[in-house]
Amino acid sequence: MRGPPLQYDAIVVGSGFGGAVSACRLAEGGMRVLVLERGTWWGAEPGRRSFPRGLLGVARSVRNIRFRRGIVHRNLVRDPAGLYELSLYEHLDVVTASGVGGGSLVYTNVMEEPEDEFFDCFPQEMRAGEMRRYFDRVRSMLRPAPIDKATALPPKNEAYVRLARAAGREDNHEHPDIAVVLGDPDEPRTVVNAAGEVQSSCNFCGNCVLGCMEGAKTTLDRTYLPAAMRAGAEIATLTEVEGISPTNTGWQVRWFDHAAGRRRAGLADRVVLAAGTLGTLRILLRSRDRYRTLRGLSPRLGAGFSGNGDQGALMLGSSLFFAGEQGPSFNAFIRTRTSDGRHRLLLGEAGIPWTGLGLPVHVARRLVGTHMLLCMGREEPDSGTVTWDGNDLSVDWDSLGDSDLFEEIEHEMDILATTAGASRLVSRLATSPHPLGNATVHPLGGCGMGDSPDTGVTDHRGRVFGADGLHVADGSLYPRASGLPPSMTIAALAERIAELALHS
Amino acid sequence: MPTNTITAADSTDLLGEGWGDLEQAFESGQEPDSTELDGVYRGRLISVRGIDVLPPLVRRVVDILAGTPLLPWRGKRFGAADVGRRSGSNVWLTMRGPDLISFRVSRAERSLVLDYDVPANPPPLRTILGEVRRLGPGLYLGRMSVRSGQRTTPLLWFTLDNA
Ligand SMILES: Cc1cc2nc3c(=O)[nH]c(=O)nc-3n(C[C@H](O)[C@H](O)[C@H](O)COP(=O)(O)OP(=O)(O)OC[C@H]3O[C@@H](n4cnc5c(N)ncnc54)[C@H](O)[C@@H]3O)c2cc1C
Repeated sequence: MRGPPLQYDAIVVGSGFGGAVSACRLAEGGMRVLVLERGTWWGAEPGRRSFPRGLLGVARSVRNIRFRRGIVHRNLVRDPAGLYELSLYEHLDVVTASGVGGGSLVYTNVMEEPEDEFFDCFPQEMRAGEMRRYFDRVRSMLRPAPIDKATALPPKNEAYVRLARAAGREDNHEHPDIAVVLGDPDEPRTVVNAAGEVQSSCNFCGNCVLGCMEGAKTTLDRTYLPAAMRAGAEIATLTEVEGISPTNTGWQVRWFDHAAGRRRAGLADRVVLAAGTLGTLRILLRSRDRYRTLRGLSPRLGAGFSGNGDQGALMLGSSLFFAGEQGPSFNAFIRTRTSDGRHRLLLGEAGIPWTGLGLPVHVARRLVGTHMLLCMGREEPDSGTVTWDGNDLSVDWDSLGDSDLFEEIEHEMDILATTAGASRLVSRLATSPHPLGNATVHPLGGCGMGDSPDTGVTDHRGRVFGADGLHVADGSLYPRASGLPPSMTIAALAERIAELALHS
Repeated sequence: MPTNTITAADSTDLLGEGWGDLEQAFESGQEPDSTELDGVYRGRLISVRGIDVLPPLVRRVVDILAGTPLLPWRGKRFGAADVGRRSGSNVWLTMRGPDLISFRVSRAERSLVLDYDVPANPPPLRTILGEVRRLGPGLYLGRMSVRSGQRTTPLLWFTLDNA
């Protein structure tokens, strides 16, 4: 009981897209905010940990591997301050990030706004028109722009355009907005961003998914989070939240402080769970099923989970492409639509960070012509479920949940690979030996927004039904997969949730 | 001033605290829901009546002993939370048991009550009454007292934890 109690207006769990926005806006609105982030600060600046480079460096930056297959259930924590978390479920691999800034540290920068009709699956109060101003707020902070408007197309994009044309997909080809400072890659310039932080423009190294040492990626630790700190928010690192329980006046949050090697607790009037889809589900399900401190939650908790229709493939021996590293990793797509014009899937080339991986020259030479394709599609709602197995999350998902979509993805990938003259297409890049297995970097849903506890876990304000003062603000809010990169939407949802929380 | 002054996140936070501070922590604890405690919880002896009058060094030795096999009590097992009449028992030597000395679980004002007045217990133990409150998710503070007539005299403090 040493020291006074840690008491806040709001405790925000996680500092990714949902958490960073929530912390910033709640602190700017006058709340005393504590952010609990299980990872550490990353970057080239003094006091931050350097992003991994080289194969060994990348292997060493794995934070933990959760292995839950058959009877083998293990969580191997290699380094609590590591950058990547790998969760290997029966039929699904999930790759997520850990660190101040969450997924923004390693994401491929794509900020994609869904089309209006996507919001039809959200509660009635939220419609696309109303969401627009929240998207605008995210835009003014992260300033995303398509690469073809900002700079000459990098060779890999030109190659992708050629490939799309040759595959007869030219009309469906587009460059998305990316949150990167762009300019002449040979003469990088410095800019002051919307949060007043200095960034340097992109040098096209292509190492986005290993973290940007140049500070060209407009990540959350360079935007929303410094703004949150200026507004008084405290950010505690290496603090992993285990559970929450209601008190007479609000909430108690209990976490493990990895630096001190002990547990700590804090009190807040409200808690915002933004630990990423799996992180938030873990806290809610552990609190409900293990600590039994959360009762009366919606029976929908854990339902509606999806991998956003993600599928990766390796295209070997293709002749059409340049080496994949030039330019931001993932910035040109082919899009397909359903017969009624709705978005169906996006397919692009995700640059493998060859230089950052530091492969020996002779290995690298043999790999010219090897490219990664990444696709995401609008999976059927309710394709997966997350439950608590007594010790950790159990994820029940396989590609049979929407076999039509995954067949279509394979078909589109085949067309590209054939057109690119690839000698082989290794599709469904995943560690699961099961034919229905797959991998995702976009776990979504499980705490879907709904009109009532029968249809969702939270209301349109992100308030958990049956738990006053408890909010969710991250990817778990998705009622269904969008088949698009979700970060922009997660940030806009968090903008809305914070605004409504301040005015409630 | 917040009405709630719970700051213990771990049983070790409470070790070495005086009787008054423990009472304050208990006071600020939350009433566990009737279905909350379920399964096995690791126990820790926090303080025994009269210990705070001992010299600090002796207290420290007792604290250390409380965490070693010299004190064979490991925790408590609570019966299924969703059944009507609930019972529980103490777990000894290892977290898997053996289970000895049982109690009935009921609710009283702001606490879960562990009543040792059950036929299976030897008569002296039947006078024991425990009260448990939640300090945080997975962490509980309990007080053991003995009853004699109308009086109950607090004997010791313990924590239960399933973090
Ligand atoms: C390689 C890669 C590329 C990607 N590319 C794109 C892209 O181009 N565009 C796009 O839109 N999306 C992309 N994504 C996905 C994107 O990163 C996520 O969708 C997004 O970050 C999710 O935001 P979030 O707020 O839900 O959670 P996150 O950003 O994942 O943040 C959650 C945070 O909570 C922390 N946390 C978790 N558990 C706890 C706990 N118990 N206690 C304390 N802290 C905790 C985590 O460490 C993390 O920092 C990519 C992802 C990866 C891995």
